[in-house]
Amino acid sequence: MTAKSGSLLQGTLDLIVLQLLRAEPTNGYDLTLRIQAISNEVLKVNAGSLYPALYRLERRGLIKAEWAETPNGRRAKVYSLSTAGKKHLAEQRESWERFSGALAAILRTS
Amino acid sequence: MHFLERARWWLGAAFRRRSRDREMREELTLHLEQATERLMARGLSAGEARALARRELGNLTLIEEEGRDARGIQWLESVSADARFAMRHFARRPLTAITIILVLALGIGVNAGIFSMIQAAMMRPAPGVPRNDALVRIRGTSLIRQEGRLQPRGLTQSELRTLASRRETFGAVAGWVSDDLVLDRGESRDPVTLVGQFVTPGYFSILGVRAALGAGLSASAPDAAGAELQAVVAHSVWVKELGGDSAIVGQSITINDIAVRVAGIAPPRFRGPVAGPGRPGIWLPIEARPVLSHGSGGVADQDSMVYQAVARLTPGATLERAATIASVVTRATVAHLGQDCCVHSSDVVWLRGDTEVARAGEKFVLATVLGGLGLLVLLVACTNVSALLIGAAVARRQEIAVRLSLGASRRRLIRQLVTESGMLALAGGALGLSLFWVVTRVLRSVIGADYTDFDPDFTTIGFTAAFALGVGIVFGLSPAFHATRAGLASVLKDSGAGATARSRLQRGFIIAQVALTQPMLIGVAVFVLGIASEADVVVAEAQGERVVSARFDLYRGAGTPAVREQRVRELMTRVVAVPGVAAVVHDASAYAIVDASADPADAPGGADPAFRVRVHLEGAAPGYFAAQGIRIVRGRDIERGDSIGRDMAGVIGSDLARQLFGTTDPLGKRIRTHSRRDGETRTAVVVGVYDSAQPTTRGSGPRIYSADGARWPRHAYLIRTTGPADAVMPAIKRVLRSDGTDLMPRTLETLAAREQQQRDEMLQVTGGAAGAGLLALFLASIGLYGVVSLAVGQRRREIGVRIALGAAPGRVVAMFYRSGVRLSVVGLAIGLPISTIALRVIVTSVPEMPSINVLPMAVVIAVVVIGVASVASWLPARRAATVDPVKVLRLE
Repeated sequence: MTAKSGSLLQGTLDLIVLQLLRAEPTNGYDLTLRIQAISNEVLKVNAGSLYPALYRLERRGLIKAEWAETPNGRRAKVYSLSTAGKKHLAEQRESWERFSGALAAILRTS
Repeated sequence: MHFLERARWWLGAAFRRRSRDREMREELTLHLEQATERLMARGLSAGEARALARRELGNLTLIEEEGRDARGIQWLESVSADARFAMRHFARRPLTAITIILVLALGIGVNAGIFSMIQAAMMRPAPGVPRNDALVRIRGTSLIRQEGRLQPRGLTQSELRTLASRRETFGAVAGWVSDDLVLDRGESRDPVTLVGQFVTPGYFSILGVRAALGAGLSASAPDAAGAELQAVVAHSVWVKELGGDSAIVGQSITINDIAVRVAGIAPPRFRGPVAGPGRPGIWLPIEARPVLSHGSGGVADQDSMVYQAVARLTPGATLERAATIASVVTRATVAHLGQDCCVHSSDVVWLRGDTEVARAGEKFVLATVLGGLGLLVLLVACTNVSALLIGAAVARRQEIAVRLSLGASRRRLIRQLVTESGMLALAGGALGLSLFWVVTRVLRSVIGADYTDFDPDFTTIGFTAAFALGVGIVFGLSPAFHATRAGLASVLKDSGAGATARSRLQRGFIIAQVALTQPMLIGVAVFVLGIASEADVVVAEAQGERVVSARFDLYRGAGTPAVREQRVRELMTRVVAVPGVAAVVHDASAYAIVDASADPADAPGGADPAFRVRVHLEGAAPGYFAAQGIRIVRGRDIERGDSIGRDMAGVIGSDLARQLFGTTDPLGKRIRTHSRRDGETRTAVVVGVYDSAQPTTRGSGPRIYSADGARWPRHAYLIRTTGPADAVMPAIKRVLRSDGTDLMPRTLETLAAREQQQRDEMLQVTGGAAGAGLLALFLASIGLYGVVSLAVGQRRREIGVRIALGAAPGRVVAMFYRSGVRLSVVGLAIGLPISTIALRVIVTSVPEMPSINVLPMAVVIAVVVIGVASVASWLPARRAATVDPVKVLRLE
């Protein structure tokens, strides 16, 4: 995963994935597309980072995986947020907002 | 994540590894396809799109690898890979693996057994008693004033009753009295003697034991005279003596000639709350005791110390509190009893393990000895296994070096080697546990359940598994470090950096093992000789078949011992009248062991008063020798009145006659006897000499027999028959039974049968010793094998050089073979004196032992040990000849 201006903060990918899955259960490929689209092509997540992140989240019980049919009739592994994941996301989002707010405040000072 | 979920995840990860890998691959394939389709939709050709998608995706294998990492089962996979690798390795060298497993199984099995025994003796409730932490045993003790010794005693009835009234501490108390009872199984079968427990109400409910069949003893006591008596029968007695038919419940059986209804069968392993020998086969209510003992039981007496007791503590009551209460109660109730001889007290212990009084010290000694023995066996097993493992690791040095040079970390390799030894140890542990299980089963069928009822339970299995794993890791680590220490270059050059100090230690162990093996091998020798000597006894057997030994129990059943003795004597006068019975005499009994020497006046050629022989003085009845068909070679048999005043008229064996008087006629000669115990000196005049080649009922060895009515055992008779006794036995039994089964002799068997039984027992004992001896030899030879094979492995380069320089492979083999044999010769040099002494001690101290010539025996043992050691050394030494100098030296 890269942003030209350096690597994503640790744990950010997890937050992004959780947030996107909250909206709607998705498979891995669609998730990469959505990250690109929503971030206006700023964030580009490659598969080598995404899938391990998904497995890690699955192991921690924050997301669930199910095999389902895609609209064009293929079998795909669809991830969705678990209850624990929702709770985790809420916590993470709150601390992220606090952090980014603080950072913004610091950057605003000349 | 919740613990259970986590566990499920691990299990899923472990067992569904393949399917998870497949899913991951499928997912990534889909990803690729979707990306390709999208790129094609943008106008790229199929080929370009696929290539670009691939590029975007990156290294597929790497992603999969990271995915597996993220799934968190990496270590599991490497362990299972190590295990699979180890299995392949063992499959290639099955002999080494099997040997290691066998040796470990021995070491671990012995230790599991010892652990289980100690645990049973210390912690576990008696077999069949459900574990209940509130159960205690209340023990009566007496301090004997004179000897200052603490002895167990029974509790009195009033003591028991008062204890039961202290409800704030003892929630419930039950007592019992043990007696020998005779179970009559009808005319056609011999009656059997059982230990019976007469129990107070609540006995079974306090222990938490319910009858396996039937209702058990009913709570309400049969107060009314003539009410039906009831009993609960032990499961094993039910199976063995009553045919194991469930229809027996509700039926009557005959105990001490009185009909008793079977109210239930106890659960299979239950034999009373106290483990150990003398456990009951039948339980009856305490009220039945006066009836069954025909009025002679002492239950009515408040002060008879006959009760044993268990209790359930009230919740919250402590053991200390209970002990205090018990001693207070004892002081209040029995202080007035037996004041001049002893001080009575009582204590309370948890009803777990061995609860007998005055056994604490013994228990400790037993545990120490057993524990020491177990550690010794384990140490021997482990050093040998360690030698084998190091040997195996050295043989794999090149493989290991190559793997190191290809980038495997040392940690990784050590982990793999330790996984191997851990697997071997676990296999050894499992085998050892099954061995232990089988051995206890066999022992139980041979010597009964009294001493062997300790099944391996979960604690034992857990202990064994943990122990085996520990052994595997500890003894696998050092070879693993050893094998992976050397750098690649030095290994490939085979510079032979060996662990000299280590191998010296190992050589020391081997020598010690060989040395210890020989005393054990004596067991084998004696075993073989014991079988061989059976041929000698056949001569006496014809006589032995005509003599029946009958032993009564005068303290069992109706009436006082004196009354019963009279009844037995009357029975015997009727036995003489049975057709086929020639004579009935009292058996003899030994009453002193003295030093005998020839009277100086009678000794041949002056005197040698210094020459003394340890002899048994035996009181024998008139006609004792005739009754046994033992030949009197000089003089006469024992006659009434042979014991006159201080001097005795004695009949001695021809062996003693020869020892004391040489070739001169012993008749009329005097023998001085001196008792070391009380210093008393007596004189015996020889009136007869019997043929000592025929053993008497008292066994062989020097003896002086003299008529001394006071010494005859009142309970033991010899019945002489005119033909083989087996034919007359039913008639004799009919007579003995006629006065009630309670008078039936405890043993009734021909001397031949008794001898046979003694021989069988001796064979069992020597067989055990032989087994241990062979095991020791096996272990020692494994160790030897390991050491020699290690030496060959370590010195491959040297061997290569020697062969390249022209040494004949045979001579190289001989060199290693000699080094192995040298170790065993040193072991022999140390062990031979030990075994010679041990042999001499056994031969001189056990009279039944066939006389063995020590020197040839020692030589035979030495030859056997050297022979086995030769094979154990030659097998690995032979491998030295297979060293190809070209191959070895090319690595230089």
